[in-house]
Amino acid sequence: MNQPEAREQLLEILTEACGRPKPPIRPETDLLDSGLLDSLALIELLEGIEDRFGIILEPTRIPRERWRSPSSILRLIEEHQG
Amino acid sequence: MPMTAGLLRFSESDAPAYRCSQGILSFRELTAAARRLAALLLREVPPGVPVGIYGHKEPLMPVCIAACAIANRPYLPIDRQIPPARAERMLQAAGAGLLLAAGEGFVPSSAAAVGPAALAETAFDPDKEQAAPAAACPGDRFYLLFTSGSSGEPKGVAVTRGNAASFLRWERSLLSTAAGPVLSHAAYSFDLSVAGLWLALTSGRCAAVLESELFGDYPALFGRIGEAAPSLAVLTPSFAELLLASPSFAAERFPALRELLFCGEPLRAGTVRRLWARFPGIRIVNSYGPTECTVAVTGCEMEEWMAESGELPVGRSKPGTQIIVRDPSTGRALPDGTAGELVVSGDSVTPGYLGPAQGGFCTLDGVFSYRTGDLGLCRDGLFYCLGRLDRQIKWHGLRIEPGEIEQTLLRCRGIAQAAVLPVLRGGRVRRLRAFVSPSGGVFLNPAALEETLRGILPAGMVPSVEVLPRMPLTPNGKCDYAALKELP
Repeated sequence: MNQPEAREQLLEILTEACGRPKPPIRPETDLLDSGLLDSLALIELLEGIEDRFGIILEPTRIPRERWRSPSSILRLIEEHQG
Repeated sequence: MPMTAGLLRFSESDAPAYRCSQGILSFRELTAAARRLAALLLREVPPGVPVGIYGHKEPLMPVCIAACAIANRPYLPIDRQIPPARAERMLQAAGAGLLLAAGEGFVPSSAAAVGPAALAETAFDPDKEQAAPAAACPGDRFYLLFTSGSSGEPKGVAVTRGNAASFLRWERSLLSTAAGPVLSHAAYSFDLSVAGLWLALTSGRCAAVLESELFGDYPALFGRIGEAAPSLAVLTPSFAELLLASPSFAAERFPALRELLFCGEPLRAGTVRRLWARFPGIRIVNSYGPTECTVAVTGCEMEEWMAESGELPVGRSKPGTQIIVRDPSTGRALPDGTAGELVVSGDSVTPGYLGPAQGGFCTLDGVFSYRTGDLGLCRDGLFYCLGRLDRQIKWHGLRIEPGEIEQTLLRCRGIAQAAVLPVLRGGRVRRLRAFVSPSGGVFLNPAALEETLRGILPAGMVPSVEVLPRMPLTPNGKCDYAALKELP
């Protein structure tokens, strides 16, 4: 999966996880301050990343800041893809 | 053992009573501090007059709560997620005589207040007088909580000391752990917190609490749970799902955890199975009850066959409490296995709302009862919850009447019609959507309306707002919720 595809996939997961918010989520949307990524959305995000990217993230090893935007989550995924 | 006597028998104990992010209070420290604040309450607040307590999970919160119990003044917990305007209305509706602010962020205009610094000064000054417990009757009000009301005003529930004592006695009988810390995540304005805090304080166990800022921060959250080393956790199913999303939520990491008490939302069989897989042999207790009936009125341990059958029961009725399943249209009691409205009577039913609202409180065949609005059935003595008879929903553990949000929107200038509905995913509420239509040519700004709502409603009740030129209507002229649900 190349980077634009991965970004597209991630935005889809986030859009569903956050309940299709309006305005729609963009790569630089602040998911934390906006309250979009609440605890239930985070659970769905973890499941979505596992399903679509085949990566099991261990959230206890991931500082909260890394969930701030789709871009920062994308970097996290790239690191785990190795 | 009633609450005050139950707590004060640990006055000489140096064992931890309360653990939060700001540190630990021992039973000796907590009870002494509470008795100093109780002396202040006995001087400043007339008997029977409620006392507001504002804050989140600060060490002063349980001190203020225990002080009210000792002075026999009803307490009204107001979590910091409640905006000041709503907090003010709650204090007025309760007729509160004083606000104890354990945390910063709210100075009421309708009641006198003691701020955090002054509270700490009184509570932790060894030279201050410590009050003896005030005389109390089971019928005296113990705490007040507000729930969402469909008419637009939150409704105040008054729970008596007798209601609470009866609940705690029964809660203890449901549990197998009698020692070890009790973990809680619920805010004090949510009555699930009573099941954690008062259970711990009256059993000599440490109440270990989790601040809401930890919920999105797994490293910190798991670190804090590890330090607390609870044997029992009192939690909502959603919170368990949050913990389970990390593979390290397992017995290897939390070996002391032996029992989970669930309340506040429907528990799913899948959640129970995952918990058993991560914590072999862990005891899981499910329970159910509306705030109006004192935390919970049914409960039982989850067993293998229940998880296999798919539908989990919410338990057997608590001794002293009767629950009937009633046909909501004819009012007739229904036989075993038939679904109807769950109606509760007995010593858990609170005396009624503050103010004129009647809600589900009623007298049926001469018995004071509470119609829960919950659809359920009974099979072999076990109760099952099947949903709601009305539009009430649960989100973030909060009971929400969409009608309350609609009424709040209708009070905003320029709105002709408003409809609020949940966005569901996998049967769970994920978000609230509000649709509004303007009155004649007014331009409505959704972002500004959301901002207005944030100042009026608790954070968990604020929907995203969408403007429609006109509301879809059913053939008989009512708002067409089904059509709204289909909008992308």
